[in-house]
Amino acid sequence: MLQQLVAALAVAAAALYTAWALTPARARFTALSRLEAALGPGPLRERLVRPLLKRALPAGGCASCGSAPAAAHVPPRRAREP
Amino acid sequence: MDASVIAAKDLRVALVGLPNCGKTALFNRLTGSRQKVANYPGVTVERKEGHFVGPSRRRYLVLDLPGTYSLSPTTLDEAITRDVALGRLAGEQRPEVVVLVADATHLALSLRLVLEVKRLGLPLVVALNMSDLARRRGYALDRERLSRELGAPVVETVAVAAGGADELVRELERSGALAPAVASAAAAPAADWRDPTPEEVRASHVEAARILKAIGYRVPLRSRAAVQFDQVLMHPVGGMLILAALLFFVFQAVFAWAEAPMEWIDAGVASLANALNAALPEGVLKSLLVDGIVAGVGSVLVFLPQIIILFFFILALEDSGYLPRAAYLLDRVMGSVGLSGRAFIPLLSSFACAIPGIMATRTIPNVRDRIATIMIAPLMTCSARLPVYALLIAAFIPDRAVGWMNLQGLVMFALYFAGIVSALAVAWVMKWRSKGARYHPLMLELPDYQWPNLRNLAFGLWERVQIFMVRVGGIILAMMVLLWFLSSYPAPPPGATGAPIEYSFAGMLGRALQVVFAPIGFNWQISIALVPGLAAREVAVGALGTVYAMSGNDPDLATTLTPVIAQGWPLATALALLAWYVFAPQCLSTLAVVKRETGGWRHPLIMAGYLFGLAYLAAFVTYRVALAFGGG
Repeated sequence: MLQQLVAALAVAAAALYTAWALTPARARFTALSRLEAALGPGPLRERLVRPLLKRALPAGGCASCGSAPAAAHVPPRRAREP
Repeated sequence: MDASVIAAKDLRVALVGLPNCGKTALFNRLTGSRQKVANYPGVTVERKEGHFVGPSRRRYLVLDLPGTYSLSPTTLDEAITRDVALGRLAGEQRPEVVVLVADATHLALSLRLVLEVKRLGLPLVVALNMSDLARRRGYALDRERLSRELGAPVVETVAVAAGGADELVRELERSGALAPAVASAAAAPAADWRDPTPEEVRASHVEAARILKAIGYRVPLRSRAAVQFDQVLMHPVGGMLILAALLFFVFQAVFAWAEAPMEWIDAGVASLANALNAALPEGVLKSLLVDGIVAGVGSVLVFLPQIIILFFFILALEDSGYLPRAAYLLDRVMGSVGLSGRAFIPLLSSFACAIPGIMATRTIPNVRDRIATIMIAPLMTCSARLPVYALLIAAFIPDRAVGWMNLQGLVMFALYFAGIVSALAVAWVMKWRSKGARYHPLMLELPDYQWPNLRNLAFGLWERVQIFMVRVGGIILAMMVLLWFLSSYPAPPPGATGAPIEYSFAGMLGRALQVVFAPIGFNWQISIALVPGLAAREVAVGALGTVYAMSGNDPDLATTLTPVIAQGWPLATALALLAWYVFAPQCLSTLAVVKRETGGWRHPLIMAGYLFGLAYLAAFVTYRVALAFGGG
């Protein structure tokens, strides 16, 4: 029974991780930004959401590769010309 | 995020300069970062940031901007530099200080940019980079006079040497621009900026020439050895032969040198599997660990030495200054199929990974040329294909000599060559379809030859190892766990005689897909492996490891994928799978980046369609021809 529980947890964690890793970068960044805004100050925001958001911040060059930890890349939007 | 909090504490310093003047190396030196550095222009295609703390405990935010020849951009990457410097990028504060990085060995080119940047009205520090190299080679100038002429501090930097940015840091600390009032005023967006008129451009050329004369800038004659090297390496025929020989040697080394370390890793994986087999009682946990994780992840991990050897050579060639010469050699070939000479660097980057290669197409000013380069970038053989190629070659191609060549290395070379030829063919078709396309000649600054910098090499290799290990420990591990679940459940019905996987979700999926893949010789195990392999190509190798481990009762199957497929597949199937992987766009990240870079779904859908079509056709033809020649 314990073995089956551990295996089920591993499969659930793998499914969550895979879904997160394959979600488009912009959607991940938006979701985390909204989650951060919705959460009040507390350890969940500081220790979980903020580090994830930092990793999802726009990054360039090789860091934009799907194989890099911060697979997210959101290109900065161009401001209107004055 | 707390951008405002960071901005209030940190002084924003922008590194601006010509392509290949050493900005990224200086950025790495200042911030301790490990951004990619190469001895050719166009490596940085968008801004990067990092922090460092000065001796006064002030924190600096350093922006590494793409190289540009002027603030009147002709390409997307140059526009990023212009917009950041002017404070025109939304969500991006204007820098408070500009460090203009000037290559001391090419000062004449940098001076016009210095004069243009001065018009921004931001505090300016000029960093004469590669000043040690300039001195050694006999360049001479009066630095004090240059500082007076420019009205800005001029410091010497050696970005690739320890302590090489100390003088720059001291100057930043000393600079009066650090006063908060000046800094905040400087950080306001420049609303009154306009591009210089042709008369103003001509005037700045005249002014730059005057300053060079005033400071006594002396350029030494090129060394005799460098000239002779170029005569040989850039010869239209001899140069091409040397390039082909170099590439051939690299692929031979990938197989010959990696043999021993691969065996060590293989033995380590086998020991781990045996230890787990002995220590754990029969049950789902043991099956998950041994058949799912160790078999799947171990099948991919074993290719780490080959990836390290391949990138050692690529990084060494980059750092030595040889690659731009190769671009020059190949320009005529690329031009004949309608590609811009500027496509060489993005296509070269695609040999590591298509994603930075596709992003590097921002340096191509013509939209048609840029789209053509993006569309063929996935045909360059990225490092994720290496485990697939290496597995199939090791299983089916005899390890024997053909003359003085190794047959396995020869086949690997042929696969890389097939990718290049296919890309050129597709580019030619695109040129043929778009009437009126014209050739844009390559203009590339050839860097000096230099010995590869060991620090750059070590960082580059470490970065590749990290990327590979993150993939193995992240998406590949997660996929193997999921595949184990799909291969284990539902349990076989009572009285079932086949392997349990045949009754599982994965077995059902594999058999359904086999209808599509049977004409090209793929069995149901390969059909299963191609599905998780859509996330990334090398996942397919791990998936095959897991699927075959789940297919039999022999515990050794968990660690010996190569002999299992060698005995189980006909040669025609293996060759068809190799042909499939030359073309198949099995990388969702690449398609996502194409969508982002082209601004819509049209191009990624066309790309996926034509590449899958080519993959199926190539695999079909290969399979049928191999069968006809007795490869069944």
